Amino acid sequence: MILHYSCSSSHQHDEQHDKVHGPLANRLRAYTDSIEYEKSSLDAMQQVKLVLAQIHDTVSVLLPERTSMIRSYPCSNCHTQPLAKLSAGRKADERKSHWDIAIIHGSAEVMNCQTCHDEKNMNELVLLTGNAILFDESFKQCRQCHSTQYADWVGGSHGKRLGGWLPPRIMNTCVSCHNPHKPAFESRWPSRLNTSSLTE
Amino acid sequence: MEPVQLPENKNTGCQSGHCSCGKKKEDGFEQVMSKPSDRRDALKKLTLGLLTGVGFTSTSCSVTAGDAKKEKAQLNWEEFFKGNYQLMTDDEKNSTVKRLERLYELNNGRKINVSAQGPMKDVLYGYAFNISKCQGYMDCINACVQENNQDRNSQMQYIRIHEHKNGSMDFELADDNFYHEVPAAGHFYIGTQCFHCENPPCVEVCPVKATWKEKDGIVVIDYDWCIGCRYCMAACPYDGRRFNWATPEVPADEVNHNQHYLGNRLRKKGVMEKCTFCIQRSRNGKSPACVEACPTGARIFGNLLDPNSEIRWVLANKKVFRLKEDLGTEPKFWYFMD
Amino acid sequence: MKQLKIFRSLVTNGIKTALQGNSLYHVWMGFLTFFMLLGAFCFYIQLRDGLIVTGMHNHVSWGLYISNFTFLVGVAAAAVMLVLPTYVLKEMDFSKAVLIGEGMAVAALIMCLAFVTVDLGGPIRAWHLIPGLGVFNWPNSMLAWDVIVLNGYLFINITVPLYILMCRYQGKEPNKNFYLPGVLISVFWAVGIHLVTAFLYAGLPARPHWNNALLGPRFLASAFAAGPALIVIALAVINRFTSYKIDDNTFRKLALVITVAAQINIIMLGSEIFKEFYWPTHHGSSAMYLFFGLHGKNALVPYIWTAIGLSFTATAILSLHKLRNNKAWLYLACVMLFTGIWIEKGMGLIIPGFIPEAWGNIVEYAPTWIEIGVTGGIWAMGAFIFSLLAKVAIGIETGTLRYQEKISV
Repeated sequence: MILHYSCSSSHQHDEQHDKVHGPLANRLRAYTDSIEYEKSSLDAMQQVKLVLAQIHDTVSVLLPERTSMIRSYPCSNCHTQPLAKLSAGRKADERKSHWDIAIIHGSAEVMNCQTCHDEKNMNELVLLTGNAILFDESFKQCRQCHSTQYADWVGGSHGKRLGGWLPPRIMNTCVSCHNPHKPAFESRWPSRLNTSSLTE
Repeated sequence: MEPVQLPENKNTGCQSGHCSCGKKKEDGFEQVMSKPSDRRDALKKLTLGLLTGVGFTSTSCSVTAGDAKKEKAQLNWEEFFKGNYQLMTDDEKNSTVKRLERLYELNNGRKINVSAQGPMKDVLYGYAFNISKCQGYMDCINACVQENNQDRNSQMQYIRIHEHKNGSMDFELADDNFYHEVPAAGHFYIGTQCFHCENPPCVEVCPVKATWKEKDGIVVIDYDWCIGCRYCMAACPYDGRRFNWATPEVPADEVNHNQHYLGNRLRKKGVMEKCTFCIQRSRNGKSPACVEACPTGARIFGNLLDPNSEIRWVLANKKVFRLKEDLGTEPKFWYFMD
Repeated sequence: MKQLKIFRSLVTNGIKTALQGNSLYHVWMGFLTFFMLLGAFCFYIQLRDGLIVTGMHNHVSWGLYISNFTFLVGVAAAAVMLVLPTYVLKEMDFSKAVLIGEGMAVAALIMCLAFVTVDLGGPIRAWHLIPGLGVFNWPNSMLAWDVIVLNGYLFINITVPLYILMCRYQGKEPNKNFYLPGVLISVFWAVGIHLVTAFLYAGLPARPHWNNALLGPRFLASAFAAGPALIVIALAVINRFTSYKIDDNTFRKLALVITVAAQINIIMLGSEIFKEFYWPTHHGSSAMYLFFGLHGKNALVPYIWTAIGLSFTATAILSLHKLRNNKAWLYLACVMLFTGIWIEKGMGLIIPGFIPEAWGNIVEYAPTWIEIGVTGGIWAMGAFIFSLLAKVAIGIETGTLRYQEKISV
């Protein structure tokens, strides 16, 4: 106790801590004003194309632009016709297009390709209501089922920041990390051994 | 244990302490400082005078090659007698940084960039670790080692990942040396590193004030002031500190050239080092290397004083806890679950 | 000016005395010199390669050096056991032993400072510790306190005997008003150095094995057993090999001091063992590892049981009046007690404080030969210094070394 008090005399103190007594977490609640920074997270992200996603009135995040990352976008390059017409002309033994994509996401009873892809306009995605959305807004699709993850993502405990910790918030979108066809993380070998207690 | 109320800063006009608004009011620190530096100067001059004779005899043999050698000797000399970084003026900080850059160039023929950048205003760094997300991939450790120029021989690492069996949080039973595919079924992972405590016991015990808490909350070490007594290591309840038992070695082309005096600059034998929240990155608005490298987003870093920061959201909306809270150290490193 | 001249004469004559002696003395000093040189060589290797050549590592970051330092602080503090009755309580039985005791304190303190220095990662930067030149974290750091109290104690233990010897050297009776304040301070100071050293460990909540209130008192009890035990052994050697005769009463009084301290030490040990094992907690893991081994690791178990065996046996011997009053048994008990406490303070206190480490892993420690070499060198240096001091002091006390006006002119 005595030592703890004596430390105040010599530590390089700062005004931040003088406002409120009590444990750190309580003290922090006293800080309610937004802070102005001299720098911005955009400084380091000049090369990356970003899109603004307005979550609700007070929250907006920047997301990496998605469509330019998809290899064969726009889909209409191949999918010149709506899906129903395309599959109608396909012979029984003909190999399916996108044969390499297996959906390991939910159960087959719940999800198929058309749950997310707009079968009338392949360049867009579709919500449960039938409303079409852009590929850049795919998070709106995920939130239909994954509401808790979505809330965490909006809040900031799910997903990853890009461009550092300063505002504005640049976030990875859901599909930056999760393959929508197979969203679970795979097990793999650790990238190294934890040797801190092995060295001896 | 009641946390301490710290006395008010005397320089209310310039909060950062790094501005140059005329003559600063002299507080206790500077009064202490002004004397030792004079005495140190006197000592320096005295010994320099004694040794110049020796220097002349050794350098007079080769006039051409002597210049670089002489400069190196001079720089090493000034480096040895410099003061504690914490008490240096901005000018002194800049000149030691210049000396370090020049010395590296003389020794290795490559340029490095050492920064003496101070803390940002209204920033207190905090960290949150999502236990539900960490999968034990260890990408954070690799990124940390590369970013912070840690000794490759001893495989020094600041971060430890502990593999716990479901149903137990007992660290004594955790496996710290797992090497199998991760995540292992029925296990979860917790990472530990320096927690940058608000009441850091390591800072309390250092006999020469070679380690301290910066205004932005980062606990740092002056590698050139540390005498290597390792008392801080004994005082840390979290195994946050590492010691250079031998001369640390980093292959020349793996050296991260973007350095900070209090961060990842190259260390020497016999001094302490530790995680600095990648001070060379965080003070530029970047996240620490571990945060950036984590493929699962388990690591969250930000400004605790900013009500709009993610770290504040986590503290307000998640059930967070810290390790060994009973010790009253107030780590600025929280754990939470989804 | 005159005092300076006398001092110079004391030093030159002292060196002369120290260089003379019978062949046994020369063999003894040569033997110590050999180990000092060996220690210096080991220290050179350590300076060149770093502390990697020791057995210490990131988990057990203090080892043999700091263990010996801790023990020797106790030995140094024990000089007070002799100072107190002699100077203050006019218990003249100890008068002959007291100079020897203070000489031992000086040697022990120099060894302490040497052990701390060799333990530093950068001994070349040790000047950062010098108030004025460096930056001193006082009063926060217990290590800063320790630097102050050890150097202060060294100063007192050099000046007080030096004044007395200077007077005796001139054949004068020392003035009580001069040295008594110094003696009084040193009495409190001696308790202080050992308590401060105990607080250095007890103040760390990170190490539950040390973080207990009994650590300080237990340090004192064991120090007041081990220190006088060493003095008894030294006096026995002096009695046997020099013309300086110590009377039996001194031995009896010293033996009593040792006995009481050893008994208190045993009671405190019992109290600690009860606390750790009646209801074992994670905070008792270190004790579990120390006494019985943990998770199959048990490197310290033989040390602690040897130490406890020696301490118990010695205390039993000392507690029996018949055996205690028999010189041979007394010497045996003193050697056992000294060794027992040395092992216990070393391998049994400092090392297990680090095991298990902060997150419960058990990483063991064993000193390397380099470490043992440096340690041996410092012990040899201590014995060397003590032998020199004792020889000069005995010379003055027995009257063979006296100031003569014409020599100094």
